[in-house]
Amino acid sequence: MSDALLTLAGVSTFYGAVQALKSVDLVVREGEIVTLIGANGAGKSTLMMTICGNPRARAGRITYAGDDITALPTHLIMRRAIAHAPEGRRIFPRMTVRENLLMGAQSAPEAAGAFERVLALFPRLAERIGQRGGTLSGGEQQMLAIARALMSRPRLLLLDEPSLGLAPMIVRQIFAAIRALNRDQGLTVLLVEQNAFQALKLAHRGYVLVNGAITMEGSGMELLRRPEVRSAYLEGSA
Amino acid sequence: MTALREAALSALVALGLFAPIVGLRTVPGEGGLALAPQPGLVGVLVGLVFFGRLGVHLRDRLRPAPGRAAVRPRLAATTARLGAWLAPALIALALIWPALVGRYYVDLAILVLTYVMLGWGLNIVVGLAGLLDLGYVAFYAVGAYAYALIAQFTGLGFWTCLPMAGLLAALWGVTLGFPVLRLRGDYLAIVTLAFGEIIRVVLLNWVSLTGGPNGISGIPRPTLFGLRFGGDEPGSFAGFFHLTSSPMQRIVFLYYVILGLAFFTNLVSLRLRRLPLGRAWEALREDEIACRSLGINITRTKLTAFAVGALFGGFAGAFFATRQGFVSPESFTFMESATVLAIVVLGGLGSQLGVALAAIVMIGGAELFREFADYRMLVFGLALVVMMVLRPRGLVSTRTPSVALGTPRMIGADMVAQGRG
Ligand SMILES: Nc1ncnc2c1ncn2[C@@H]1O[C@H](COP(=O)(O)OP(=O)(O)OP(=O)(O)O)[C@@H](O)[C@H]1O
Ligand SMILES: [Mg+2]
Repeated sequence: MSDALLTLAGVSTFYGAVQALKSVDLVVREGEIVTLIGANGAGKSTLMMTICGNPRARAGRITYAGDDITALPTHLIMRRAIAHAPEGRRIFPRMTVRENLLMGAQSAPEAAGAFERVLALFPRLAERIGQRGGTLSGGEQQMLAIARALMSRPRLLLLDEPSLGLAPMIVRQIFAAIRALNRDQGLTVLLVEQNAFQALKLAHRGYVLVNGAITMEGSGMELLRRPEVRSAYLEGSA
Repeated sequence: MTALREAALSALVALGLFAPIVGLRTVPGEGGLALAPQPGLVGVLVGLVFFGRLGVHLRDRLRPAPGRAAVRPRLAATTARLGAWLAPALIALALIWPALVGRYYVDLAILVLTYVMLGWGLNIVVGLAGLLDLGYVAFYAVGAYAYALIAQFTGLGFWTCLPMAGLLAALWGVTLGFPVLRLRGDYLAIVTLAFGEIIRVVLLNWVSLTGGPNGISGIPRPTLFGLRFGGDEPGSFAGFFHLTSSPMQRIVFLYYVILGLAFFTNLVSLRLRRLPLGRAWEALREDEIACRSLGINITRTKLTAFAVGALFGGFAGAFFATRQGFVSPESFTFMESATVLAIVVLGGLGSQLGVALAAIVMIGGAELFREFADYRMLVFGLALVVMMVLRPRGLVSTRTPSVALGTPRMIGADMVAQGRG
């Protein structure tokens, strides 16, 4: 837990004339779980997508494993063992679970044994391997989205709101899976969550994003104790 | 009550449409054409629409939504079982067809197969990759003219020119693909529509190269390993096999050429679907953003879809040219694009068998009812409407997974999934 795997330095992103990210500095170290919290529209998804090069950062530098990836095309960024499970699951509804998973392996075909690994992590999916993605329940779809992202054997996993619309029980399962992946396989995770309490408890460190700018950072527990965080993101949930 | 109101509304729209189109008939009169009103016919048609709409409403009433949903999976299962023997039966029939029927029906089958091939080609673009292409005829035209011109200027034979024509069409596919990379849906449709028209207008106006509206004639016929058809001197098919020459020989040969080309298209489509590239096409149709985050190269995926689709369109075009011996811009109007697209949509977007069936029904049907040429478009439109009411997702709407299932337990899971519909 020492070297920075991913570094954002002064990253600004625009949608047309609207600035969505304002000189964001953020570090994710190898083997860490980092949680990013913020209100709706703060720019959390934009930050993840900027890491993936779509939209592209207009200013600043994004470094991954020592290389500058700011100007790389999206598909080349994703081939560097970065996986992104975008907001809203976005599984392929007419394709089967198996085909969905195969799509995840597309950018890294050499990832042998990935199939067995992700099915071991989510046994529910193994039972439904031939079912069409669109007919899965919401929780199963989210599992599929994460499993699909893991198929490329990533070093860094970007997870955008994995708990969206799920029952607390399923959320706990998914968070347990993230923790297990991090502990057992050393997977580095950048996690965006509305479910701030659980996400900060899970994380080694966290950042708070407000209107496109980072306003706070610290260890998960530290942030949980801050009164500003408690009042803004934890009302009633703690 | 709503049923009556809706039926009346439909009838009103029908009246508005039919009154000028069917209601007025041009008859030769003094000093040119005169208009003769046909109120009776309009009345019959409007009445048909009125009661038709009422009928659809009644059907929905009698079979309420939950009941219909329950019927669906059984229907899907029937289609699947039907497909299991229908496809081999169709292939077998296609193979022996010329032995069964006379010249007219072989000719008709050649026409149908040309559209089957075009349908399968467009299916790659529209059905698999989900890119709505309204200008597919452009590639058909490029293939036809490429063959005609290359053959004319170089004297090369059909089999040498065929791949060249296909590759040229594919090149144009990529050319179209580049500017429309960022477009989707309606916008893509408009640009492809324009592209189809541009190609036609260029062919029409570039008189020095294409002969303009007069087209190109004297296009060489295909040969069988160098054997010509027609005549019975040495070097011709009839001469080599010591047969009496007959025009039927060439027609049957053409039939097997297009059958082979169509099979080739089908095999390549089926094979590609199982490869990462084909899977990426389908994923692109389902969700472009998800594709991006999985590291799929969207540019390459879209361009290859356009290129492969165009390639087969080009092959079909070259075949068209060699069959007719003559090409002109008239054969490549928007109507052709619309027909091929209708075949793909009716076939159920993405189903190989569905496309073949739709082509048989639409092209074969249209030819057989040739006497009613005046009403062809009317019947065509009516058939589309009826289809969309009865089977809104096309003839064969179930998508076959591209990866075979591993163990029996997994097949069980799939059945459960289908059972849930
Ligand atoms: N494609 C787009 N074009 C224009 N503006 C956009 C686009 N995508 C996002 N935005 C804007 O950028 C801002 C940040 O959006 P973003 O999706 O990153 O928020 P978020 O923090 O992920 O919110 P949520 O918690 O609701 O998912 C919002 O004001 C949003 O309206
Ligand atoms: Mg978001």
